[in-house]
Amino acid sequence: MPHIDNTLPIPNIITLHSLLSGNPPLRPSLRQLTEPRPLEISIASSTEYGHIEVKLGETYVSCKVSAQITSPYEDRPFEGTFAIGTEITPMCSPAFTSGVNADFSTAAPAIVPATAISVNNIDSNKEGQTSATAATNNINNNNNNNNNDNAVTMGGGAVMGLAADQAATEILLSRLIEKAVRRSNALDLESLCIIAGQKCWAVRADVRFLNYDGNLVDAASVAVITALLHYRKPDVEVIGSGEGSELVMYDEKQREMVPLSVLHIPICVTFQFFSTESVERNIKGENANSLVNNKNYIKENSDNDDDDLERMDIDNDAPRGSNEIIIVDATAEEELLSQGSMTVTLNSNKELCQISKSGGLNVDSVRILECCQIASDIVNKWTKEIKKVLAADIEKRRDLRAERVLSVVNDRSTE
Amino acid sequence: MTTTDNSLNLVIPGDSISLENNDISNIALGPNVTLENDSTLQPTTAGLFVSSSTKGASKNLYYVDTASGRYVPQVGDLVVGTIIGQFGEYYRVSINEFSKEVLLNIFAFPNASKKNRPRLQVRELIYARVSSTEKSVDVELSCVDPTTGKDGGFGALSGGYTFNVSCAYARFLLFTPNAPVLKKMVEKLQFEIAIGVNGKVWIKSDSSKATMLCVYIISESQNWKQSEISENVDKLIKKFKSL
Amino acid sequence: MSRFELFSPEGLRVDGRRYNELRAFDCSINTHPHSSDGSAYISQGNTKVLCLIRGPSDTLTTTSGATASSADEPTISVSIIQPPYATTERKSTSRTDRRMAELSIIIKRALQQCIVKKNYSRTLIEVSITILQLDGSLLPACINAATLALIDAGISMYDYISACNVALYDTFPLVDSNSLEENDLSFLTIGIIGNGDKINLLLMEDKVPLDKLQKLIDLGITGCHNIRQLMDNVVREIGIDLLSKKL
Repeated sequence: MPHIDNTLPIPNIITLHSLLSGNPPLRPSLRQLTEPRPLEISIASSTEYGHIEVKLGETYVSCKVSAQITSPYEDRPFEGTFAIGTEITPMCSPAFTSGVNADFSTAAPAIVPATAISVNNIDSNKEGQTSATAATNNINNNNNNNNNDNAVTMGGGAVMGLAADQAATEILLSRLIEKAVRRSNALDLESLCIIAGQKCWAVRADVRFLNYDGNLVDAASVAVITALLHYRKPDVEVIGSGEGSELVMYDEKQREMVPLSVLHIPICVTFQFFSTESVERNIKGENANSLVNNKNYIKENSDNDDDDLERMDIDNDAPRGSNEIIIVDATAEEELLSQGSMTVTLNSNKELCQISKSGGLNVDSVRILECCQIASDIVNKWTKEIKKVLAADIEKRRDLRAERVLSVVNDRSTE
Repeated sequence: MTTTDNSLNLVIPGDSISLENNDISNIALGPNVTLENDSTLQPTTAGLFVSSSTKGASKNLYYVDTASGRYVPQVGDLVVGTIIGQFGEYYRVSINEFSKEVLLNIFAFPNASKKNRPRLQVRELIYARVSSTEKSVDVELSCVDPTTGKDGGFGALSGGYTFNVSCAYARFLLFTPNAPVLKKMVEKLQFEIAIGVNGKVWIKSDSSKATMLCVYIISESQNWKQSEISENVDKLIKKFKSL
Repeated sequence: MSRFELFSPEGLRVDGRRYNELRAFDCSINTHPHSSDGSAYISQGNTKVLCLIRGPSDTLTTTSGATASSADEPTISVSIIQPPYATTERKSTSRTDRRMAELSIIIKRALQQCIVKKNYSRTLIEVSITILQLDGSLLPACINAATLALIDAGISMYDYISACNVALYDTFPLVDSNSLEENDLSFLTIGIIGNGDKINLLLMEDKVPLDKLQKLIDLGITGCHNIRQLMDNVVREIGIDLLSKKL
């Protein structure tokens, strides 16, 4: 059984949070904050091309690339087509149900995962003040916060989390992969053209999620791009010209298969954000003072007493810097806890192909640039890994082919 | 296939286990075995066949211990659950992920009355006993020890951390006196533990880091050989100290 | 690269703006007082967007299970309608367009962070956005319109959320891009709650060298602050006007 569902119990949330905000910060998986899990890329079939399995810790993704000949879109006669299928099925976790995506228009206003709880609440209800409370106090003290008023809200609607928001998760995921690989022109579509306006290759990459332990996006992006690099399409030739032309396809035995023309290797790196401060503080940050002191400042909807109190508190507080905790390659558990995420897609040429941070915790621009730098290092590491695996496989297949050729020669000579 | 008393054997459905010199009236059948005829038993599940004749007990007990995936509640089981809601006089409690929740009466606590009873919050953890598993009625839990009427260690678990182990491992930890891994941990660490046979273990130590260490040891120990336990525990403790 | 000179050596863009100049910005609130609880109209150059908000109202049904019972935040639903006449090329977008679905999720998540959630547990806030005319900066216009509509609806929020697009021409960032620029250049959408430097929303779909990102973000933040100021002025003016009628 999976180790978590949407209901992360309060003790777990508190413990994880105090681990993350401790000194030094500790992740439940014992990794460094910016250290991804070990990436394992394997080639699923020793005979076929373009079937890749990627393991990122417990997250397990497979991708199969296939191609067939169709006619191109009318408005793009010189280009082949490329589609990516990313459907999340219950196969990877019972948290997901199948077929939700088919009807996302109705599913869109689905109830957001109710993972937001305030630590403040919990404490006040406890009789025996135990180490859990101590742990929260600890968080607060670290940040010189006033304990009474700092409702630490953990987990939020912006989680790339589980089932409750599956429709959103699926759409974002498929769009992310699409933007990362397709929109960034990783696959040269013009090279897929066979006869302009008539025949072209239609390449399809189908991603299957085999196990879910967080960070499906990164694993999927590696799987798709590796599969594209690995795939070989049969060689085709147009014989003759004009009306009487003929398209001949050669199979593997007749002619060497042709690799796809992949222009660069975009890889996604996802960051999750946590914060020990309240939403208010996160938004106002250092400007809190200046805003409150501003005479012209009229607060909209100021009929809420609580709100006023909080503002007072901000007034007393010293200006503070950013307190966001940023982790890379989160597990499912960490994703549930997260208050916001950002996916950055880069290639080894330090070109950003895509950034997407939709809502969630507000993060300082400096931290975002830091993230990109971290992502760049990870991308370099993973690109090397991909190339290593592919090179090893080419070597292996060459040996096999040489053996086959030799055996044919051998057969002939013994006749 | 024959088995002798107090031995362990791997059995698979289709096997037949013949009972030697045993009087039919003198045996008790546990889970996953059926009586085929007067002298043979048939396992219905793959697992370890256990036959035990404890001293003092009048009957020989036979059962198959199996590593089932999902926990099925039985009366008397000790479980760790998460409160996921409340309606009427009941809390709804999740003891199995992604399955139907079970019920816990809000008065099923020692000395609970209308005015004086524990108020549990959504997402709080509890340690409880399965009190009823009637067919066609929701499973019910209770936080009262039926023999004493006191709390008996049941109730809300505050702080700490829960995690999942396999059901079989949870049973092993709970029912084996001096389970090697726990024994080793007791020597080195301080912690509180609650083991639910639903495969959930709650553990709490004096700091969240120490708690995490305990969590690590127990969840990793599922894959350790008996002989490695002592060494591996030391290794993990060392690793944590360096963090 | 392009038929147009998107950024002349003199530092002028196709429509005659400087790199840091916003397009003509106009907005009004309470445009549809009868059909909605809050409404706003916004025009940034030729991009014109209308946003209606209904709510906070009771959620119709609460589904059983953990999520509904412990929900202590509002459900926000965002729908975007882009009629065929919005762009120069008359083209209808289907309801199941993934891009639109993505857009609505992004807007929803951005608003979620901005609304004071604890005040609206178990309520529904419906945001419907109609794109009357589209000339680049679609997402920013939608978000800006939604902010104003939220203010009009009297929903408590921490601060304005303002957004703007920044395009990159060679090494020059260009704020508040129009569709001509967006067709040819890489651009980035940035959204900010309040007046700080913290980024709530960051979206980029095209290739940009890593070392240019800083420039884009910096200009984007300034752009957001300017837009926030413009919206703030309008809201204050309306507020003063309303007050003067009462007194």
